[in-house]
Amino acid sequence: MRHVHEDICNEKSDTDLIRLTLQDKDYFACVIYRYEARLLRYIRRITDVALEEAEDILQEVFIKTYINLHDFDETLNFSSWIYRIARNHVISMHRKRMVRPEGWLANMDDSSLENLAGDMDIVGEVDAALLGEHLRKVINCLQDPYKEIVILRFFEEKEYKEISDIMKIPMGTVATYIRRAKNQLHKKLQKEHINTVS
Amino acid sequence: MNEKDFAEKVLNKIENEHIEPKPRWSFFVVHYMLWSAGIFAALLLSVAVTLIVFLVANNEWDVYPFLGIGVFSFILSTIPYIWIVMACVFLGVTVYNVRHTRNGYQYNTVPFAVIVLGIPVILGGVWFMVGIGDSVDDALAKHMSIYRYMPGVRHAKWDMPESGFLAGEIMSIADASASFMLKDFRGREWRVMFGDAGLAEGQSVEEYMRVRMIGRKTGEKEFTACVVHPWIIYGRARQFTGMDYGVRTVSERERVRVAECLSRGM
Repeated sequence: MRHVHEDICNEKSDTDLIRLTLQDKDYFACVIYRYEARLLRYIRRITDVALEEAEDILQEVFIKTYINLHDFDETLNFSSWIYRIARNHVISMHRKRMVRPEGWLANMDDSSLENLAGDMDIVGEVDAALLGEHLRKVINCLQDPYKEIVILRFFEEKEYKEISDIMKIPMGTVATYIRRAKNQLHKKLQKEHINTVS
Repeated sequence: MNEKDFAEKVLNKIENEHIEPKPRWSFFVVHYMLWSAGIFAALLLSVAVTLIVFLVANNEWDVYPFLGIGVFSFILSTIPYIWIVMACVFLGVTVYNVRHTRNGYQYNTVPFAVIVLGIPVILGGVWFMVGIGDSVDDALAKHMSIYRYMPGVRHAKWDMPESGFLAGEIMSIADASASFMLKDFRGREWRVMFGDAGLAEGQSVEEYMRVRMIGRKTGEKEFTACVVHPWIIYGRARQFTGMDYGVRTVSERERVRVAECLSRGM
């Protein structure tokens, strides 16, 4: 695989890799190794496409990232920047198809659901599998941007600042959206007879 | 597909299709164009704010007692609608441009409001103080006839000599206590008779002064003024170097005098 060894990739920061890629494009392979799995998972969480199509989208995301490398602002986290490119690409792809992005239930893994359940102080004896089932259902009923916020915060485990940079909204708005998303989740879960501490 | 295969596939596509990163300058151009357009729109917003302040400050309250209309109708007739609309448009353009700059999304509402509204408002206040409002209003009225007839703009209201309202610039004073020559905002020349009765209390006239008059048309190019007030009370261009006319209130004696003067023409 070209002349860039994986060990070299691991030693470099994202910013170093971008600088090196601008001199030798083979270093872009390191960026791809580092973000391929994460971005593929994210794309499948915010779309309803099959794996093959998600991989095609991911390839387009990496190409777009490569084309826009000079636009990367080093004061930003590279991870946020590449997530933003992925998000915008998915949104514009859906705009072209005239449909709204839909999350895919199967892409909400159990550990992320536990993470969300813990944050929402779900009380009482609730069967984990059943709770997961309910959470998947209510998350999929959330409207944009709340669903997207929940995915970024509890599934991608992004900090407020990172979400702000990915969605290009102020930090205060991120906090507001997360609070409203959680309120909506509480209400929907209560309708499913699952007790939560608001 | 494993990571190496996928990376190879992406890099092959980049190579085969000769894809190159866009040059750095292309992003700088977009970035600076957004900022430049935002700053330009903010400057226009500050001018619109100046005009709003200028027209509200000079809203003819000093001649209201002679107009014979209700307070509500008077207020509605003096709202500078056109500049309020323009200010909203410029504010929208400023917000759009600043929000779309590289870091524009990071501003929270309050600091963002301070930037896009606060600065133009303060600047607008300063422009008003140095007479920019007067200069822009005057220039637009002289060079854009449609401006004179826009809602909230004063010029059309004072271009009705048949109804007793006339305004313009004094060209020459034939007799300091009786008459002067005036050019109205459409360039027509008038001989204005006023005598002692035509001047508001404490008022004097001088060449190149812009005035508003309530009176009656007494000839083809002749107007008899019952009351003469300066065109601008606040925010006059060159106010810091010229004479400040100050605020005038209408006394009961003056109200009676003007009413008598006007009734003579009926």
